[in-house]
Amino acid sequence: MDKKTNEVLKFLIDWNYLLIEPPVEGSIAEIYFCFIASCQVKGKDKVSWLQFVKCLQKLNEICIHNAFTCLPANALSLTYEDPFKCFSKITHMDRLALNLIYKQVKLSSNPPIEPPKTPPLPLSRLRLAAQREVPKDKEERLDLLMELVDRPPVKSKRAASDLYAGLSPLDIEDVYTTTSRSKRLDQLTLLLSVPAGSHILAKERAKLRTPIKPFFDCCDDSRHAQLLIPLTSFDRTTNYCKLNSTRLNDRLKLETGSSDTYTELARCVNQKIHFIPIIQSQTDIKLGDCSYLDTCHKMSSCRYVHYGQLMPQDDSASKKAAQHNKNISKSMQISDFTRGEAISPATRPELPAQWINCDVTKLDFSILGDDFALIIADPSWTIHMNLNYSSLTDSDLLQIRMDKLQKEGLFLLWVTGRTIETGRDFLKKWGYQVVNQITWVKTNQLVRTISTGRTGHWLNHSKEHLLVGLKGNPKWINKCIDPQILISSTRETSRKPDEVYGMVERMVGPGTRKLEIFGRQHNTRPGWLTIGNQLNGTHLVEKEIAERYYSASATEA
Amino acid sequence: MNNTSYMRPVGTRSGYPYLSSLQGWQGSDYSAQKSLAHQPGDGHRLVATRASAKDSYAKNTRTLASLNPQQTNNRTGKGNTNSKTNNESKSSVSCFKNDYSNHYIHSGVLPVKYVRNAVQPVEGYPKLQKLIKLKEQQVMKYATRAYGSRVKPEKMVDTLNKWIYEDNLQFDVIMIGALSENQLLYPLVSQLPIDKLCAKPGFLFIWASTQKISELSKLLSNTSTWTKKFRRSEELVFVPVDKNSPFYPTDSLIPEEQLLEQMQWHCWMCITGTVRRSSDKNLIHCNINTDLSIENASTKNSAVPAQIYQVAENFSTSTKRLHIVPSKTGLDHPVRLRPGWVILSPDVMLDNFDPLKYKTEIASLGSNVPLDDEIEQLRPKTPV
Repeated sequence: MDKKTNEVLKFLIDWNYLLIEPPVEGSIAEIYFCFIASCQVKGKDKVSWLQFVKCLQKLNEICIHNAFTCLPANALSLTYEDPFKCFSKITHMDRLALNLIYKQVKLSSNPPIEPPKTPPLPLSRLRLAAQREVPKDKEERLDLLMELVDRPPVKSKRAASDLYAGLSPLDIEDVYTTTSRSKRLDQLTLLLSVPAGSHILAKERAKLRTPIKPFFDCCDDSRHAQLLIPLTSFDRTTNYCKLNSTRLNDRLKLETGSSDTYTELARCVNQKIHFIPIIQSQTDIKLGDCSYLDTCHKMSSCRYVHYGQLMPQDDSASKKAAQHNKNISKSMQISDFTRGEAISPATRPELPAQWINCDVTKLDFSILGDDFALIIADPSWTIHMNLNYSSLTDSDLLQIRMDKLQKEGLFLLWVTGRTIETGRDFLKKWGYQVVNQITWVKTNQLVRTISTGRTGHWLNHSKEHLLVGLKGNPKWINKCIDPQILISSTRETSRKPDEVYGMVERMVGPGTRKLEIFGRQHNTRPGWLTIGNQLNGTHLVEKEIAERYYSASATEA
Repeated sequence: MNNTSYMRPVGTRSGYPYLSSLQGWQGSDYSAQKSLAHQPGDGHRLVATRASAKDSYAKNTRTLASLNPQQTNNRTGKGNTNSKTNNESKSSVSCFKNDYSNHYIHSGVLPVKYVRNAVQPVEGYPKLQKLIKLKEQQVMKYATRAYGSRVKPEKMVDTLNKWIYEDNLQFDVIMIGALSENQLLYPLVSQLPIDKLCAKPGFLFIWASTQKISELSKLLSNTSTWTKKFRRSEELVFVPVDKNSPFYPTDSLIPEEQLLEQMQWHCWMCITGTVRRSSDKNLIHCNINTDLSIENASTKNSAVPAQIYQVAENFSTSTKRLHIVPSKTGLDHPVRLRPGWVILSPDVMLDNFDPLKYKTEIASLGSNVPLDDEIEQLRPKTPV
């Protein structure tokens, strides 16, 4: 190939995107003028119009007429004496084909036109491999073969930054990546696994609207807890450990340059939560931890080890959190991303907590309305155990007209053991489709999963399930914000984690009406209407509900 | 009970003055009341938000504990301090607890990453640690060699029928499926002759992703297949620890399809025949493992993580265990062999299973792991 064609080729490779786009829009004549202009800048030989068209023809021929798509299709075979009379256009240039030609030219021309700037090009690597001696060992030979056929060995698989590695070309000369068939599957997988923009935006929105709660890591260094025993004291009235800072300072002073145990400890104490063994006179360390830990009723006589919590002193994070939390209402008002959202949530004030103390099985649900965005129910399922609260038979529960409460929306139902299946059946009967199953992983004071005792019939139970039923196809639900696993510590019998309310808030958005069935006083909160038979009286704010409720109870009386 | 009229202000000092005019709660009055409205029974969240404002947590909780019952009473409109309410509010003021779900929203670190006993579930319990170690040693001692049988999915029914009718093989523990999305449960699994293959009493462990769980439920409730012989007993869950894990479900990032980010794998434990947990100590040991396993650094990528095999091994004392992986599992989930198990799969690593050899090995080994005094003493038992 002659030098001029080569120059044209290089020009096309360098500028192909701009040449197809407006204002040039692929006009062959315009491309020619651009080329001339670039030649003059570089001080190269002039190329005439006819020579230029010939070069294009030549390039197209090399690629079996695949390099350029023209309008009209035969544009390159037409000859115009004068570029101003030519109105043909190139609508598409095959960059890959042009690159392949360029590479071939570079390989065949003996001293290369330019020394390559980036050394680890795939092709030079190939050449290197070709020069390499074929190893005698079978395994090494296989490795070499795979490398030649496939790709250089990928260093860290699945690393986040590596997501696109080997899938998008390294640079303009990398023809290898896009042509290699071995990547085809990876490319498809990548295409499927790249998160959707709407999903990312929804997550960001949730981040802006969710208040930051204080969060501290827990120290995992068991030596720290041991060192802290003499430096702390447990305060029974507050259930916290208190650090004796003068004693720690004394140790710090005594510490010589070579060891930094206490310096390290002081830093850790400042930032992380520590659980410090409380050694009492009756404690027998060999027995290990108490199964109940902070919920143990016989703490003063229990021989197992209990722990006190030592909070970190550093509160720089909480200041940042406070700043974020102050801006929540502001970011709610200026939200541009309204997908999955009801109309102007910022203008809808949240209702204060409301509750009705009643027998749920006897309450007429038409009083409550049928526009709840979400319902949570924690029925006391009948199990073969003596519990300190009355339970509800399955048929009684099914009799409740849960189907009346929503036109569309979500229904979360707490289930245990045998009732997982019953719960699924019931949700279906009430008109819901079971779309998910949230797992509450129950942890203890030390953020370890509950694993002792006999908490289940065949196996021990470290988790409980919350079934998620969906009715209709509501457009106002935010999907895939929270994971389906919830980690939270156990509290009083049958009390469920409060984290669920945060998840719900993110799912159905602010300002929506939510209903909790079989709730207790600790479940009441703004935005929620709680019904159950263990509530303190009745407290209603919404006029319609209150009127309906009191007129109904008046007629009953 | 105060349910006289909704128009009457309920509280005395901190009640709801806006109740008298229903528009009131939209006004500025409401925002001032908001923090109070949060309070009753708010548990650790209450402590957390309050305490963060000042230096010491310990000091603040005490003031809160004394404050709380009073406010509860004001809200409910009761003047006198009820002793029951007092007790309740005292127990609800516990120490500060992290909200891992909230933290996930802001940091992207999955809550399960913070569980502190993922590696050693019985961390802190020396007796149980010893029990689990002893069980492991004994199971290893009475394990057949690791067998694999490489069979294509379409040939599986034939192979199993041959084992049943020609070789008179039966297994006491059968696991079906693996942690892979493409396990096409229904068509093939419903055809497998599990009822003939499984002895009585026998134990079945069957896997599903959250997506497939409805399909699995359908299968297990279908009375026209072998599943009618089995009753569901426990639901095990396996949780990958982060999003780069080979066990993290690959189709978990399609928000249009799912309400929550899918993470977990479900495994139903089913029982056929009669076993009593109080008397059948030669057959089963209950309550050793829990129904939850979390991936940890030692979990190798495989079709089924070792933790789950261990649950089955610790539960049933039988030495005859079969694992059927009914379809290909992909490169990220190699079907590894495990001593004590016969693994039937289209891509198991070794194809060495011989029914006759297996039967002689079982005969010399015994069909159950014998009782061990120390284990008997340590294991959790049902009061007879």
